[in-house]
Amino acid sequence: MSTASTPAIVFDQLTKSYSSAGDAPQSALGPLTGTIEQGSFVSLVGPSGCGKSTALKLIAGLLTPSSGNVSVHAKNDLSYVFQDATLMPWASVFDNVYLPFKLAGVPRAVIEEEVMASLDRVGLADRAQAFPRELSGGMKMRVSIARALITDPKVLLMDEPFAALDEFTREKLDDELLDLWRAQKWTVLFVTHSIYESVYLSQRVMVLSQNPGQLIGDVQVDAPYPRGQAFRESTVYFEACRAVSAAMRGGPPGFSSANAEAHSR
Amino acid sequence: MNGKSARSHSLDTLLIPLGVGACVLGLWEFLVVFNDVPEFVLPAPSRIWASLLQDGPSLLGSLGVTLKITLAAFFLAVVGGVGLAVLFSQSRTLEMALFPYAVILQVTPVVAIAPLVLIWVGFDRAQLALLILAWIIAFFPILSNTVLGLRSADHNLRDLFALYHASRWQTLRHLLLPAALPHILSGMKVSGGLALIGAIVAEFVAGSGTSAGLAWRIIEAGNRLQIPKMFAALVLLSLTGILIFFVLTVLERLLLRRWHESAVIREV
Repeated sequence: MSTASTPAIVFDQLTKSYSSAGDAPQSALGPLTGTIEQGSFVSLVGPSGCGKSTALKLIAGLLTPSSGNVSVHAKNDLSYVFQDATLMPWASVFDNVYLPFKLAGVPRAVIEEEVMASLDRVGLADRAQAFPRELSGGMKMRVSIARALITDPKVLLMDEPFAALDEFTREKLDDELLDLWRAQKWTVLFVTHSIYESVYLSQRVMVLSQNPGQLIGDVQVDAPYPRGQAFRESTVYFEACRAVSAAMRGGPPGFSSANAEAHSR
Repeated sequence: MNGKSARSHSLDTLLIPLGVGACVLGLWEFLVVFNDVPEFVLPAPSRIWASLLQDGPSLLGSLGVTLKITLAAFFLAVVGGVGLAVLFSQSRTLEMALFPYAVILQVTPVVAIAPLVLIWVGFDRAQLALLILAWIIAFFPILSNTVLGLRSADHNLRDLFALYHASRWQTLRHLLLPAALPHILSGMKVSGGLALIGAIVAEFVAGSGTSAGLAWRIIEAGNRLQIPKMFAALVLLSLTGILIFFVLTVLERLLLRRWHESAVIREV
């Protein structure tokens, strides 16, 4: 699936290094070359410190590349979901979701229905007047997703969004996210350190090495959606997990990479 | 547990210190009467109370003068402290240039510079000198707390604001200032008490004739060995300090109760 469609994100020899005072610059990422197709669900997996978050921030334009570049098809239709829910604790759930429009100068009354619809999509319409501290971790994350989705993005960047949640909540949110994605078909780039989560969610898993992050594996997960418990017990799931895991240990990209792309040079 | 026990807990926090206070006062009264301590060394609480009733009205007038300086100094400290901190947050260069001088202002003993300020401002405008001196003392905690608070905004939220192309003003208004609010309020709690202390100390140093504030009445009573009256003035002073602190604490609760952990009354 998703073979010859238009690219949403293109990495071209992208690198990022950080320099702290006095020391030589530390390379954090790349060189990274590759393409992410429009409408696809791609995971970026790797150990901590592999530059996954750096890659997302480069795409979002929050960081500038040290060399090379990254181009995004819909630069202004891009949303970001952080590892923490990153809500303003002093603002109600409604106001948190309203934030992107507030900053764009759109009056509250104009957009109220959309904010409520967005909250409804994540099942929190009845908590619009609550404050973040009154919500559970999973609920906060849902608010964060509602905020990301309200601008109707073309590209959704997610930086380990469910990492802080318990497994039960995480699996539930994984499924909710997939349902939303199937309805809207944004391009999702999902950063995680969980091999299982990446395989369960994605059509394609890109594996990064540690220090600096380079593409060392690219695994296709050829399974239809909706995926459920049956998928978690299937051979495709199992073999994709093994392929990702092998790639992370530095072994060959594995058997399911028949249609994988060329790796970084 | 439930709300009922939470209420009885808050009653305890009121009753226990009051009980301690009553015991101390009782012991004080007993020791003074029992040992026949002369009034000009240590007056009994009952004597202070009598003096408070007798001199109360005139002392209250003086308290009004001191309070006016205190509140004005406090208000200007909040405006100046928050304002300067906001400027610092917008320009690192400005912060580097000015912050050391704010520290110098803070560490200079107000007693030492009071005469200078008084000379510069002019003896005929002593009230203004008192205001400046009280402000110098009250200003710094608000400045340093606000600077810290403005820096404490979540960096992911900063990224989010950048992602949504928030202007500098929007970032300040909707992110940095709300994030700094708890810090500003705790700076204000420190500062409120300091403004009162500053006003009193400045009055002491400025000396006779320059003001009709409470500090002058304390000096006056001391010179005339009217020790009970001195104590009565001290009692008024403490009560004022407590009142300022209480008002600011209530303000803090009101502003933070829905979102900040410090103001949440936990029902555990």
